[in-house]
Amino acid sequence: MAQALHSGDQGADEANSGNGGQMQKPFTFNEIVLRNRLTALVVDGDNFCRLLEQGILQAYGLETQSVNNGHAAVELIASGAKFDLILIDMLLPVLDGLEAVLHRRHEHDKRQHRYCAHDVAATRFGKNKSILLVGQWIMISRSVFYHLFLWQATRRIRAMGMHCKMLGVTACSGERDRQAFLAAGVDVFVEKPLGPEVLIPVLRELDGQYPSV
Amino acid sequence: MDRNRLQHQVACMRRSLFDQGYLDEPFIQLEELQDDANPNFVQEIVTLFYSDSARLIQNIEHALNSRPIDFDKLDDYMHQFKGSSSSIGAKKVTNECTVFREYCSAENAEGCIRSFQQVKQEYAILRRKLEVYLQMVRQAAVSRTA
Repeated sequence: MAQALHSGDQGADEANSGNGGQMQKPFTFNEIVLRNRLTALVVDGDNFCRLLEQGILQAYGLETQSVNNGHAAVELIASGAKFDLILIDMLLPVLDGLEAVLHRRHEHDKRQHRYCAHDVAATRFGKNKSILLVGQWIMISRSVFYHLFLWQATRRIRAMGMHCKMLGVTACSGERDRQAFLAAGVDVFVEKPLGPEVLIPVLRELDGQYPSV
Repeated sequence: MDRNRLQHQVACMRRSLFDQGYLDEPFIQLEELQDDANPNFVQEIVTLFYSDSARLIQNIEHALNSRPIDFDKLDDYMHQFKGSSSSIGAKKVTNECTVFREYCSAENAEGCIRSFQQVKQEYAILRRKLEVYLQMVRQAAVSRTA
């Protein structure tokens, strides 16, 4: 399918031969040919990443839609849209709770890492956490707060009964965030860039779920 | 310019971008997305990368100039920049982003400022080289259809 920029011409062949020049590993989207119609949703706040991820999935043969924030993703699924695969970025604008955290944090003493929040439904106790109920305010340490409020889009999508495959993507993250994102509802944790070594096995699995046409 | 010579120059420049570590495999994937239905995909997405990067660099600069420095916000911006850089295959830029995030997580302001200079430098170098490379690719495409 691709009109590769680097192939086919005499000049290109000469440049890539002799002199011990190293050929880049050839890449093709034809490594998997889908037997079934598969649909995907890309949720990424970064324009470039969203376009690229959507392009990659389309190149593999999926019908894709994309949105640029968590709220839009939830609204789309709440409207009845169904997807076989959702690619969702770990840091989303709107509805992942992070913006709300950052906004409210400016009102408090950052050095003590105290955060105030309304509507906290759950509290946890453990190492490095301190929870203090003051009237309707709850003071929670930074790490616990983030993991309670992040990934709201992912949690809500799962809460609505969407059981499709979800790939959580991120530039990089620590093990704690990885486990917490998995616990929030993604099936696979993927570090960017999104490559065939992750996608192809997932697509084979999804394609095998349906009877051959 | 002779068509074959132009093709040769394009191929050489492409190989050097990879051999010198400016680009790696994700860029190949990106190139493979360009086809007859999307003949300008690479240029379009690289342009989007430039505009997103400019925005993030501006945000990071603003955050570094604020007092006190919000290291969480800085980390988020750099997280985004690292995401797009790694997705386009900008290897050196991605590596410098990683160094920055290490200083950020240690809340080392001076380290952040120093490493951010490196991030900007590598980004500027990559952008210059990509612009030249893609300009040559366009010329080669025109010469093929002529």
